[in-house]
Amino acid sequence: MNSRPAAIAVLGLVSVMLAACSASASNQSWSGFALKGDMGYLAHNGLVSAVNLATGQKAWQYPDKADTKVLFYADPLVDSKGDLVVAAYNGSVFKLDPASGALKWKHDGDGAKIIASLVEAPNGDYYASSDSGDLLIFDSGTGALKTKIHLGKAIAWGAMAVDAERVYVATIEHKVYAVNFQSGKADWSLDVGGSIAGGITLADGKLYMGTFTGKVIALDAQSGQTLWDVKADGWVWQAPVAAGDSIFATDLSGALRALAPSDGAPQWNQKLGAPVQAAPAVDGGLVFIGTTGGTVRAYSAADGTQKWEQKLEGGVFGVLRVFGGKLYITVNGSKYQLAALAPDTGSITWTYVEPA
Amino acid sequence: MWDTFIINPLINALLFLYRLLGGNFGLAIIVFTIIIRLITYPLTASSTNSMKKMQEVQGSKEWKDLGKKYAKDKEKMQAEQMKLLQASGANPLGGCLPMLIQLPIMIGLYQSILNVIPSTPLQLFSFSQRIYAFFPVSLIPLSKTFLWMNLAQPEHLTIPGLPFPIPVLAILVLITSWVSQRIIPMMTTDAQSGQTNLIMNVFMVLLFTNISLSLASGLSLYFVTTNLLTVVQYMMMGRVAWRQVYSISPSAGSAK
Repeated sequence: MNSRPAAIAVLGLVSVMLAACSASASNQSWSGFALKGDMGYLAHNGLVSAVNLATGQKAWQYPDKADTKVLFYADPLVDSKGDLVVAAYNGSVFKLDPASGALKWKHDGDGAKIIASLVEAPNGDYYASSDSGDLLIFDSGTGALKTKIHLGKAIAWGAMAVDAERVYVATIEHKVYAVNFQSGKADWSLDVGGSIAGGITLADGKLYMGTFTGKVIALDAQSGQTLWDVKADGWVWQAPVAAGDSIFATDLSGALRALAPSDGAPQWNQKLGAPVQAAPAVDGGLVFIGTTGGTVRAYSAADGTQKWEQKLEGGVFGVLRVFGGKLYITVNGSKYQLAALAPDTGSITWTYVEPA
Repeated sequence: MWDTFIINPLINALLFLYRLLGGNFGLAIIVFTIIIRLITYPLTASSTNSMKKMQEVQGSKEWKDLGKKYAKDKEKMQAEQMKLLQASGANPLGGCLPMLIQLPIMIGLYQSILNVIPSTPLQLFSFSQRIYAFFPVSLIPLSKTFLWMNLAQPEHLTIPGLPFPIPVLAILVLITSWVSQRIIPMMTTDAQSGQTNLIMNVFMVLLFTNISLSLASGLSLYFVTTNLLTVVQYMMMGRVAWRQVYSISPSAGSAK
C-alpha cells in the first residue's frame, strides 16, 4: 500500500493553485477619483469612468474593455486647461477628453510604477512620482517624457504638493524632497524617520505629513525645517488636511484628531473603532471620515461632536471629497465603487457600480 | 483563523529573524526554514522509520505468502496484509506525512512572503494589520534584496555578454528537488512501483521548477533550503539511495 502518490498529487495541486494565485495577487487597488464641473472621474482597476454627479450614471468609460495589465490607482488629474490625465500602475500615462473619454495621447510606461496622481507644474508640464526613485516629467501637449529627475532610492506612493517654485515629494524611504522646477534639483531633503505613504499637504507655507512611526509632522516648505511633530496612536497613512483653524489627521488605530496648525497642539480627537486609512473631507463646519470597515461619520470641525453615521458596503480608502453639495466617497468593495452622500444627514444619494 | 494562527505568526517570525539578522530577508527565510525543519524533525524521523518498516514487511516472506494465499481474494489479502503491517508497527500513511506537513507551511510561507514584501498600497495596508507590537516600524520599508535577487520577484541573473538572463534559483530548485526526492529509498522493489515513483519525481521536479520561474524568489529560496536539508537529514540517518539520483530508469532502488 502506498499513499505517497496521493500526497504528491495533493501537493502538486496546491502548488498549481499557488501559481494561479500569484497571477492575481497584484490586482488589488483602491480607486482614484477626481471632480470637475458635473462629472466625477473614477480610476479603478482597468477602467477610467466618467460619472454624472447628478444621477450617478456612467457618462463614458476608457478603454472600451478593461485591460487587466493596466491598473489605475492614482487620482486622475484635471489640469488647468480642463483636460483629464490619468497614470496607470505600469507607468503608462493617458490624456483623455473629459467630455467624451476620447484618447488624446498615451505614453507607454517603461516599468516604473506610478501610484500617485500627477501634478501640473507652473509651465504646464506634468510631474509623476514612481517606485523607481525617479520623478518623471512629461510634455503636456504630446505626452513625451521630457526628462527624469533621480531622487535616489525612493518609492513615492503619496500625493505630491506644488507651489510656484517647487514640487514636494514624500517617500516610503522616510524622505521628503523639495525639487526646484527651475533647476531640476532638490533645494532640500529631509529624513523624517518613518515611511510616508499618503503624501503631503501644503498650506500657508507649511508641509504636513504623517509617518508609519505614528507621527504627524509640519515642515517649513521653504527651508525644510521641522516646525513641530506630534505623536499619533498608530500608523499615519494619509496626509493631514488643513482647513480653517485646524489640521485634521487620521491613523490606523482609528483616531481622527484636530490639531492647531501653529504648533500641533491637540484640539480634539475621536476614535472610530476601526482603522482609518483615508483622509477626511472638511466642509461647512463638518469633518467627514470613513474607516476601512465602511463606517462613515461626520463630526463638528469645532469640537469633534459626532453628527451622523452611515455604513457603506466596503472599506473607505483614499480621500473623501465634498463638491457641489454632496460628499463623494470611493469604496473598496464589490457592491459599488463610489457613493454620494448628503453631507447634512449622511443619507446615500446614489451609488455607482463600475462596468464589469 | 488561518490568518490568526498561521499567517500572522509566520509573518512575525520572519520579521523577528529579519531584525535579528541585520535586515537580511534572504537569511531570515533560510534560518526560518532550518528552524521549521528542526521542529518537525521528530515527525519526519518517525515517518522515515515507518517507511523503513513498511519496506521490510513488504519484502518479507510472510507478506509474499499472504499474496499467494489470497491471490483470488484481493479484499481478504489487503485486510491480512494490513494486519501484518499493524503488527510490525508500520503506518501505511506515514510516508506521506512529511509532505502533508509541508503543505500549510508552504502555503503559509508563500502568503507571508507576499505580505512582508508588499508591492501595492493595499498589500502594505494588509501588512500593517498583521505586525505584532514588538516590531520597530522604522525598519519599514524592508529590504527585499538578497545577493543579486529581489525576493519579491522571480529571480533572473543577467551575465554580461549573455543575451538572456539565467534563472539561477530555478535551476537550483530543479537540481535539489530531484536529488532530495530520488535519494529517498523506495518502499517496494517491483518495477511498476519504480516507474510510478519516477513519474511522480519528474512531475514534482517540473512543478516546483515552474513555480520558481513564476513566483517570488523568496519562495524558491525556501524550496532550495528545504531540499538541501532533506538531503542532509537522510544522509545523517544513513538512508540514501544515491543510485536512484543518478538513474532515470524505473528500476528499483534501495538504501545504501
